[in-house]
Amino acid sequence: MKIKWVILLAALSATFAGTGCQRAMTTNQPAAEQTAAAIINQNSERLLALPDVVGVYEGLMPDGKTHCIKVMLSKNNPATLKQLPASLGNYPVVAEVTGKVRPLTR
Amino acid sequence: MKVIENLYKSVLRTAACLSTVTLAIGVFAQPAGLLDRNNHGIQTAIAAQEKHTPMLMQEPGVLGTAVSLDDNGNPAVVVYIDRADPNAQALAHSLPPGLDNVPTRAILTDKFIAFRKPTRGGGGGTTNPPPSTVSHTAIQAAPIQLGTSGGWSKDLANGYCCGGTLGSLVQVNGVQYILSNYHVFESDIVAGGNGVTAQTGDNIVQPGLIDVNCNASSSQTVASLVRVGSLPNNNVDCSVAQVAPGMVSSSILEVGPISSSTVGASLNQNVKKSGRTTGLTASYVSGLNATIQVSYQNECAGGTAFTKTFSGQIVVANSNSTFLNSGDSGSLMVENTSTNPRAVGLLFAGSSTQAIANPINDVLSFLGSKLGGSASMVGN
Repeated sequence: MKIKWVILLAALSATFAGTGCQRAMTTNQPAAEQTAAAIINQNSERLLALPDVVGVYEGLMPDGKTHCIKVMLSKNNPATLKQLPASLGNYPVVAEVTGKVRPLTR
Repeated sequence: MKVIENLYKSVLRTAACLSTVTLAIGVFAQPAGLLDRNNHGIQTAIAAQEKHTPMLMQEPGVLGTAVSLDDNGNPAVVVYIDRADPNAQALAHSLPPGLDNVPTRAILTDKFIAFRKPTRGGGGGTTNPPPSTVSHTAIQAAPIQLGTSGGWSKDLANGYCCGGTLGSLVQVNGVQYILSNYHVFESDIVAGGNGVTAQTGDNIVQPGLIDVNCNASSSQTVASLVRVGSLPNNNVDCSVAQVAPGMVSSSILEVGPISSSTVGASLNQNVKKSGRTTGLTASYVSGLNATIQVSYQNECAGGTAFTKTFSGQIVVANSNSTFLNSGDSGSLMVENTSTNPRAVGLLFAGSSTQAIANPINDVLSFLGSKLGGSASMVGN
């Protein structure tokens, strides 16, 4: 169920992401030279500025092999999904609703 | 709070016509007879609850609603708010006093869980340890094993007490320290609800106050706090307490001794941890290089102190919080090997789908710089 949800969000983000937004999120460096860590470093501030985005990290697609950039959302936000790029560098961007991340004392 | 604002508008729109009706039926009068579904006041409260619950549930931090009685014995719509949510107090205060002329009442509560033995294991894809009867919350005979309940001896404020996990041992210049999180040991930075703030030399106790009815005299002192102030200005959520002689062993409950070496995280790496709430659980690394925003409180059940953006963090699959849950903060995450596992990260935060850990080498580098030496894990 969760995987379906992630795929749905990924599809939504891919569908709605405009090319202008992609240009805004990527850098001028050749994509092939960028590691996921560098891409996250360069784009996380702008991504975290979007409503309900709480995190960005390097993860794997459901195939368990393809590396991607995952964007963590505290809740489903269609407006934010529309602003996510379909990819950053050579990495597909996948949104996932994780809820808020909080310290885990009790 | 957008949802609450919308709720206010909705309530105002319907208040005029409903007020006439409710005055006639006397919702605010003491309800007569049995307070069951046949009671008119209860029926009105249920109608208001059913009407407004969908909008309330959109607000992060709202766990649920119910129909109950207010302090005057009148039927009321109760809104349960996650007391661990950073905006819990503000959310409670932002509720409208009534919904369709039925009084509201906010109750801060822990997250609701099924009262059955917790399911072990984290995100799948790895072999979960078998269920165990080892208690991670009971007071132990010295020297205690780690992966147990613990915390600051004065971590009590605003009617609540807090605590976390005493995770592991580190050493600097031959001196041994218990490693846990900043927000477990030293995040009380305002006099606020308890009149004190965390200071170097304060007692660190086992079990934590949460497991001794908030009464520190029912726990034992195992170490003394050494404030290192990792947050808000550094990229790690860690704190240490110098071990009281003879009180702490380097073994971790259900893990045993660990290696003195560390290992970096990698995607799909199998990991495990031993913590206060969920005990020994296993999962796998689902993400690297994470930039994550986490909000911190200024004391137990207090207000928001700051929101920290961490970078370079480790993400671990945490489906339904089965790998890491409230009270597990401070647990050491190690590779999932049977003997002398190497440390991978210091767990400190999470959601119901992902857990977050500081890379252990970042933690050791920070501690070494603060304590004037080279920090390492205590192990084989």
